[in-house]
Amino acid sequence: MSYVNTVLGTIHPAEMGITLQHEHILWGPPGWEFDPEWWFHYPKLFQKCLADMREFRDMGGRTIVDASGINMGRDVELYRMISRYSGVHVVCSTGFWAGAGLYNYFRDKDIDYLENLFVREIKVGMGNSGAKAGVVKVGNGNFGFTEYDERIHRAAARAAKRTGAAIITHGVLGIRRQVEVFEDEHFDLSRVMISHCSDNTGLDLERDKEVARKGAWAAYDTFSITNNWSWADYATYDDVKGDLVKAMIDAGLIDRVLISADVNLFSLGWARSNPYSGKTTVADGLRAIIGQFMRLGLDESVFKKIMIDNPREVVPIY
Amino acid sequence: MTRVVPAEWARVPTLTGEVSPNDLGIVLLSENLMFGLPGWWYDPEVNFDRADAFELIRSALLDFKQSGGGTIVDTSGITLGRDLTLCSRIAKLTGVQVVAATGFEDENTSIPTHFALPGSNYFAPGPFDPKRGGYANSVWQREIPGNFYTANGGTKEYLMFLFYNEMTQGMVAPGFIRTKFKAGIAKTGCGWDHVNPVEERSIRGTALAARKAGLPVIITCINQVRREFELLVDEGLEPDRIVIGHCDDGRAIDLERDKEFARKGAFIAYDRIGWEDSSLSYAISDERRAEMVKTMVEAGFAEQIVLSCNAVACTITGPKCRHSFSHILKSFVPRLKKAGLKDNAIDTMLRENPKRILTRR
Amino acid sequence: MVMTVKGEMRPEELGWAALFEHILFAFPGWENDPWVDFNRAQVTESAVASLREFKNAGGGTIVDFNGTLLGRDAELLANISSLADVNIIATTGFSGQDFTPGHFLFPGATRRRDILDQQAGITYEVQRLDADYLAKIFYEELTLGMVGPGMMRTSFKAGVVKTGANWDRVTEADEIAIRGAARAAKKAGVAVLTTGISQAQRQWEILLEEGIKPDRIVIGRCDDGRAIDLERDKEFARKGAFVSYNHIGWEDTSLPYCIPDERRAELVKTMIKNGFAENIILSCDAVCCAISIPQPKHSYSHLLKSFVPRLKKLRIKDSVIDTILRENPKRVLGGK
Repeated sequence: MSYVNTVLGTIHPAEMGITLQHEHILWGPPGWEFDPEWWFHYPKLFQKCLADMREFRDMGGRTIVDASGINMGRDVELYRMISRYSGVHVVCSTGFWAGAGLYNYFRDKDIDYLENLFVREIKVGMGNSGAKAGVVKVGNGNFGFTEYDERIHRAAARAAKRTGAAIITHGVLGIRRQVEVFEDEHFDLSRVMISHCSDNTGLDLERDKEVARKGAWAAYDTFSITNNWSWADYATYDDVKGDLVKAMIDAGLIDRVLISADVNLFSLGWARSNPYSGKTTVADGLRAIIGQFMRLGLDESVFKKIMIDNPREVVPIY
Repeated sequence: MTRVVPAEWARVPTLTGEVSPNDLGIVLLSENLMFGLPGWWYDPEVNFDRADAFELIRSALLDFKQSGGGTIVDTSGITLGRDLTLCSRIAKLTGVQVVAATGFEDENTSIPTHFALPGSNYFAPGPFDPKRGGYANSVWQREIPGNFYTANGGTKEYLMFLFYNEMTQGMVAPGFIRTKFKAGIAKTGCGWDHVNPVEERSIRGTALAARKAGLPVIITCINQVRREFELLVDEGLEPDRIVIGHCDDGRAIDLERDKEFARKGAFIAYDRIGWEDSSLSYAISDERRAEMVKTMVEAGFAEQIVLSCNAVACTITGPKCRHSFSHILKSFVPRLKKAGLKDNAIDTMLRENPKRILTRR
Repeated sequence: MVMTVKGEMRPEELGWAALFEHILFAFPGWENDPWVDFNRAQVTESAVASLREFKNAGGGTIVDFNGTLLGRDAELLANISSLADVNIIATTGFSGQDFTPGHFLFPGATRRRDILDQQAGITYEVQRLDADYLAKIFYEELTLGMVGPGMMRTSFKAGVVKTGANWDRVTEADEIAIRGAARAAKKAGVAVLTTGISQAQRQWEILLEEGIKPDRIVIGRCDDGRAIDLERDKEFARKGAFVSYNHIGWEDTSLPYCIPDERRAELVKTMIKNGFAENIILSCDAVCCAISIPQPKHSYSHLLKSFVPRLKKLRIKDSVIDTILRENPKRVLGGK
C-alpha cells in the first residue's frame, strides 16, 4: 500500500491534493547559526511562514514537499507547527542538497553510512523527532560533479531503493551525470524527479525529453525565480518556463512533467527580500503557475494532471 | 611596538569573569573541554549525554587544579565543540579559569558552508563572474536594524567583524544568543596541503580582529606555517602576538624552523603533549618532546616556548583522548626535570610566557 | 436539504442510510498515548474498502456518529467519502459526561476570553459555560464548518446533532450539552440523534422543552442489552419519534450491552407488527478503526448482508425494509 510520510504522520496519497513538489520552508547553508549577522526574530519567522501557508491552503493548495534535506535549514519542530496550524501537509526530505552543503561532520562519511542515515530518516525518523522523511534529496553544486556529490548520489539511490521512496535532485548542470549514476546503481528512473529543468544556466529541452523518455520526471520547478525580480543567473521569465512545459506536453510527455515554485519561505544566511527569490511565498508561486496555465490556454484537466495526479504518482513511498 | 595600557584593559576574559594577568597561574594554552565536528548533532548514532559530559569536564578540570593548574585556554573556536554555558558553570564549580577562543581552522572540519560559499552573503546587481567565484560589484545589505552595512560580504572584513564581535561583545551560542563571555584569544588554521581562498580570508580576518582587539593568535596548521604567518603579518599583526601551534606534530618536526620563528619573536607551542598513540600520524612520544623542549631551552629560547596537551575532556567526535589536562603537570614536568631543566625555565614556559601572550596589547 | 461532508444533498439522494456508524472511535486524549498505532493511510484504505462493500450491498449513506469529541477528523471523512463514493454525514455534539474533557465539564464556570482589537489592543469578555455557549459551538459546526486540529475550522459541516448522557443519570454537564445541542439543532433545522438509552426519557423531555419536534428525534440504542423495553419504544413511536436498533452485529453476549442479532430481528418484527414500521431506524455502530474499545468484527455492510436477510427470513417484506432503510432516514434527516 503506498503512503506519504508527512511531518505530522502518514497520509494516504489521495489526500495530497494540489501539490508543490519542490519547495523550501527554510533554506540556507549550515553555519548561519554561528553568524549573528543572520540571526532573526523567530516569532516573525513563524508568523510569516504560517500566513504564507494558510494563504496557499485557501487557494486550494494542500501539500508541499520541503526539499531542504539534512542540515540545510530543515527544522522539524517548526515544520510541524506550521503544518499543524496551517493545515498544509509538509513532506520532508532526507539526503543532502549537494556535496557542497555537507556539514563538516559528514564530509568524511562513506556511502554505506550515508545510505543508512537516509534509510533511518525515512523508516525511524529524523533525529529523535519521530517524524519521518518522505523523499530523498540529493544534488550537485554549481561547479561540477565532485567526489562528495558522487558519494551522496549513490547513497541516495541505494536508500531510495531500500525504502521505496522517491528522489528529488538539484543541480541542473549535472543532470546527465546524475542520470548516469542512477543508471549505474540500477535505480528505477521513474522514481527520480529531475529538478530545475527551468534553470536558465541549463535550459535544454532535448535533454529534458531524453530524460523523460528514459522514465524520469522533468520538473519545471522554479516558478518563483523570475527575471522580473531577480538578477540571479538562473532566473528565467515565467513565460519561458510555461513554454517549456507546453513543449513537453506537445511532445506527448505530460506523464513525466512536474511543476513547482522553489520558494524559500525564509532564507537562512541569505539576504531576505532579495532579488534571488522575487516571489517568496508558496501562494505567489501557485498564482504564477496558474497564470501560466491560463496564458497557455490549458484546461482544468491538464492542471489537475500536472498539479495533482503526477505528484500523487511519484511522491509517495511504495 | 608595545603600548602602555590601563590595567583594566589588560584583564583577561575568562568564563568566570575577568582576571588580572598576574592571577593566571599555570596556563595551558591549547586545550579542548569538548570536541566535535559541526553537524554531529544531526547524527542519530552520536550519543551525547549532557550530564555525562558535565561530569567528564568537571573531573578533568578539578584534577588539573589539584595538580597545581590555574588556567586553561580552550581553543575549540566557534565551531568545534564550544559550549559556553556548560563550561562556565563547571569553571565556576571547580575554580579553574577558562579562557575561550574565537576563530576557525581548516575549512574541511571547521568552516561550515555558510562562510565558505562565495557569494552566500550577498545579493548582486552585477553579473556572475565564475573567475571571481562570485558577483562583481556586489553590495551587501541586511535587514537587521541598527547594524552596519558593509561592502563585499563574504570577505575578510566580514569575518573580521565576526571574530571581533566575539572578542568585544561576547561569543555566540546556539539559539541566537550572544553570551557575555568574551574571547581571550583567536585561533586560525588551514588545510594540511595548502591555504585555500576561504581559509585565507579567515586567516586575514583573524589577524585584523586580533590586532584591533589586542589579542594573540594561535596557528593550528604547522605544515603551512610560513604562509599562515605571512598572511597574519601582512595584515599588520606583530610576530610576538603569534603563537605557532602543533610544533610537535609528528608529520612536521623541524627545530630549525621553530628557532627561526622564535627569532622573529613568535611563540613556539609544543602543545600535543600526551598524544603518544602511534596509530595517530601526528603523535610522537613524550620522551621525544622532552628532548625537543630541552634543545630549544638550551639554545636560549625558553622565553618563546609554551607547552600544552590539546587534551579533550569530552570527545563527541574524534579519536579517544587517553590523557587529561593534568598530564602536563603530573607526567611531563617531571620528565623535563629528569632531563635536567631547571624550575625557573619550566616556570617561564608555564607561567610567564602564557601571561605575556594573554595580556592584551 | 441534508448536509454531508461533500456538501448539501437532497434527502431523496441519500439512498439506504445507516444512521449510527463510526469511522474512528477514540476517547478524547487518545492522541497522547504513545502506544496507539494510528496509521492514517492505513485507516483510509480500510475505511474505503469497508464502505465500498457497503455500497456494493446497496448502501448509500452513513452517519459518522462520533460527535465533536470521539475521534472525528473532518478531512479524513471527506476524503474517504470521495474515494468510496458513499455519502458521509458528520455529527456535532457530546456523548455524555464520562466522555467529555474537562474544559466543558463545569457548568456555570466563567472564563475570560481575550479579544484582540486592532484599535483597542487586547480586551476581553467574560463567558459562562452554559447551554448557549455550547449551542454556539454546535451551531457553528453545522453552519460554518467543523473544527479541526491546529485551531482551524475546516470547511466541512456537520449535518446532524447528537446528544448523550451518563448511564446512571443526566448530570449537570450533560444537561447543558443536551440543551445546547437542541438549541443548535432547532436553529439550523437539523435532526437530533440520541444515545444512552437509560436516560432516553430525560433527554426526550429536555429536547421537547427546547422545542424540538418528535419527528426530528431518533432515540438511539433501543437494542442495548441492559435496557430492552418494547413498551418504551412503542411509547416513543406513538409520540412520533423514531426508535433505533443500532447495535446490530454486536453479539458478544459476554458484554452486557450486546444481544444476539436473532433477538434484535424479533424486536424489529414485533415493532413492525404493531404498526411502527415507519418509526424504525437500523444501524450497526460498526467501527473501522477502534482505538478506545475492542475492534468489532463486523463492518458497515453487516446491516445489509447479514441482518436484512434475517429480516426477510422472518417474512418482512422488501417494501417494509426499504421504508426502514430509505424512507425513515429521509424523513428524519430531511425534515419538513
